[in-house]
Amino acid sequence: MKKDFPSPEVPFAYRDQPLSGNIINGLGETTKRAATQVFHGSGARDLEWGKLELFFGLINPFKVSWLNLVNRWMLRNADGPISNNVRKITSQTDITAEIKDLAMSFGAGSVGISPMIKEALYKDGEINYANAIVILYPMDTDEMQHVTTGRAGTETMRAYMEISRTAIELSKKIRAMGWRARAYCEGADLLHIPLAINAGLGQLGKHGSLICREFGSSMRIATILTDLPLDHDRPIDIAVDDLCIGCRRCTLDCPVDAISDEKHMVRGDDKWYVDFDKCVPYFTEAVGCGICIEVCPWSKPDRGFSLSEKLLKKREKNKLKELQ
Amino acid sequence: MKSFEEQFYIENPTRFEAIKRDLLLLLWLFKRALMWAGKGLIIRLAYQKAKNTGKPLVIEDLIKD
Repeated sequence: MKKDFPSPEVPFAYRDQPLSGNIINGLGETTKRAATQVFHGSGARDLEWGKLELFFGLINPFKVSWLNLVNRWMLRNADGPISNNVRKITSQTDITAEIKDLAMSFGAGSVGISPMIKEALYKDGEINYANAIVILYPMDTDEMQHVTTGRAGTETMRAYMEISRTAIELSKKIRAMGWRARAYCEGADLLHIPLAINAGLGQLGKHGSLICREFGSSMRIATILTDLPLDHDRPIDIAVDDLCIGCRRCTLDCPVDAISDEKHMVRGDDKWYVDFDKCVPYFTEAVGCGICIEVCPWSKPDRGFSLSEKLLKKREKNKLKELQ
Repeated sequence: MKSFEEQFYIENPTRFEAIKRDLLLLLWLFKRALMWAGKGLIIRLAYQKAKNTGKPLVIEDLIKD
């Protein structure tokens, strides 16, 4: 069903266009380097596209703006007091299982652990922790059917608040064990997707978002950085590329053609990339947009596991055919 | 300018540091709420007009440095 999305002709413009977000993001660059923040600086940092971000914040509906403020207030507890009684870790496997159980009991939909990697830091970012506990929280797929309206925006903010609550509770528990822990949620100092991929939670989709088997792309990500010694998960192959290469749902449904059918070289990595200069102005107009996430076949409820299994089987079958 | 995390995340704060952080955060939130209600209202009205007339708004005219 084709929905009535806002016009691709956005009703605002820059007089002096900022430097292209694609240039800042390193589109076409073959050398590896850290990412630079362009947009979504949490309203506290001067960014090249910061005026548009502020404009986005000011045209957001009341409920979305209010929930954002409440979430920010909650996030003051993302770091805090560390107990002097340091819990000795006798078994890293046991404490890893305990932390994962805690995360799930606090409301996480999925949890994975990665070592802290430099790809998760922006240029000049200085965050020194050993491990990253990455959690996912699902958004309500029925509510997200209303993308480009305040209703979907409200659901997104609700999911941000829930994942913040979960991440804050888990970080508090770890600090109560005497170990450093800090929750990164809606903020902008950490790149969550590289950590989530490294933590075995999913893979990058054509639409530039994480795809996991549990929720597709219809979820939010938060990360708890900690020095608590933990076992690491490994990246997984759930056959995202097998589908994305041939599937054109997001490329066709994106009103501004920001999604490409081919991977691009971005800061030394060949990967899926969404055209920033086309996507972000429309994202602003469409109250956070999210069309690509909503139409993604992986985002259909209870579809991911069977879809992944089917695609992996198909791949094996094709491999065998090639060998014969 | 410092990020949100740099401004309001404090590792192992003293009671005084925590209270100071909470007050500064409340002020930060109040300013943002005020901006949404004041400047935001003007922008939302202008935005609605731009959508109806088809004459695009200029970002720099609305958001100054």
